[in-house]
Amino acid sequence: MNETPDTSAYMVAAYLANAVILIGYALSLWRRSVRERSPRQGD
Amino acid sequence: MVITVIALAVLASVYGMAIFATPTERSQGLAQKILYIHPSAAWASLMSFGIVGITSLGYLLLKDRRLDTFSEASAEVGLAFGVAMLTTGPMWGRPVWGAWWQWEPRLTLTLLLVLLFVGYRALRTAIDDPEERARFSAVVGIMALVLVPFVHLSVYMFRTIHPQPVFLKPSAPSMPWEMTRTLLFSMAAYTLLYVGFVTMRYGIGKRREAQSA
Amino acid sequence: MSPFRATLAIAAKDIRVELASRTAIATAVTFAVLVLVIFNFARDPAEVSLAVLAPSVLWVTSAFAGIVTLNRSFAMERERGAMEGLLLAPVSRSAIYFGKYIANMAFVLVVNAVLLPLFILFFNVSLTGALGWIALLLLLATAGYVAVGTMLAAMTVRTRFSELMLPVLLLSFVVPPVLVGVQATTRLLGGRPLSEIIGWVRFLAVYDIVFLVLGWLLFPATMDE
Repeated sequence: MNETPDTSAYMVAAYLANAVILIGYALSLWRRSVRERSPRQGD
Repeated sequence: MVITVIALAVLASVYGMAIFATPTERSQGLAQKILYIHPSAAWASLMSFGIVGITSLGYLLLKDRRLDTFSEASAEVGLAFGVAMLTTGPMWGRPVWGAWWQWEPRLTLTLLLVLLFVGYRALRTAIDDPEERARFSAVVGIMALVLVPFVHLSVYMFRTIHPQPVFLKPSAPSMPWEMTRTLLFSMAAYTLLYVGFVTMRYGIGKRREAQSA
Repeated sequence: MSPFRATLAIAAKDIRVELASRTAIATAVTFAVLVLVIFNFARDPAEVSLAVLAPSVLWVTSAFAGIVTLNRSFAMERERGAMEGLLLAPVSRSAIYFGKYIANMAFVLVVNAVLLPLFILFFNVSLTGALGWIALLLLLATAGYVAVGTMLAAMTVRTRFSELMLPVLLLSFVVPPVLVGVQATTRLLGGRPLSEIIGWVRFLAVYDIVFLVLGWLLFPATMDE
């Protein structure tokens, strides 16, 4: 029987990257929501 | 906003369930657990683009500006999921296939769709008149939907090495229930995340429209 | 005017204007020749044989030349403000679409007709028996992506960076016909039986019909209401 390969580094990297992308996008949406809700300065 | 926060919390429990409560596959090792987040991102991305096609058709028929704002929101959310999909996929492919990328039907199709929707976004930013922007991008949104079967068929001549979808198969399920359960839960989490994202993005589009009017 | 005659009148107008100057076709042909030359020098003769590379070169060159030609499609109306005149004329939007389509097809086919012999010359391929089939494949593939390109060009000409916007949107639609074309050409040049490529021919025909119908239905949305 083949031994189970150690591929944990790939899993950790993928899970981290996935979280960074999705949370990053959520933060970008939140920032844009807040900015556009507050009245624009100068007018 | 509330939905997004809830969906992100559910996503965190998907992580926990995949890592701690799901058995490790023998031949692939831990990298196999990427398959609890990658197909869900692909699903969410393709669903977003599919919805753009439908709301685009709706816009051309009804000329309701809200449908255009929604198309814009769904296209952007689809790109975010697309980036997640295209990032996690190669990290699974490298240890299991021995290659980061393969030119097989599903990969080619999703890459082309993501690129086409980057073009869709570029087109939107390059048009000033809101009515014209809505009409033109609706045409592209519908055409993208029609393109999907052609891309898939044309690339199908190459041997498919992408894992076949595990659901909707008449034969006995090829995955143990613990694994299927985690994947289904993950897909539900991503669907909820889509709802949260698209609601926020739609709100931004609405306010932007109100300000420019 | 009947829709059919209006279509032909619009196509004839574009072709007459092009014949008077010959700028678009001459430029596209020059472009195609240059791409052929560059491909030849991008190849390491010791590593990649001409026969392996030839089908891809033919199809990529043809597609790029087609896109360059399509970029000009509505530019003339744009530059000289003639679009309003065309829209005010008592012809249907579909007649404008099919008229533009016929003219674009004529231009792209002329470029392909020049490209094919040059390709045979430069790449030293023997096409005995396969020439007719390769010409048919080129015709069918062109018919499909020109149907898409005519629609997209009508929109991109009115945007900023229009020369970049058309290829970015169109190239995704060019992939299926070019993929199928390369596969079928490889089999033809390898002397495989025709039964192997019939499926590809049918694929291209379906692609053409679907996108022509879609163009007919959606083109009115690309013009001012």
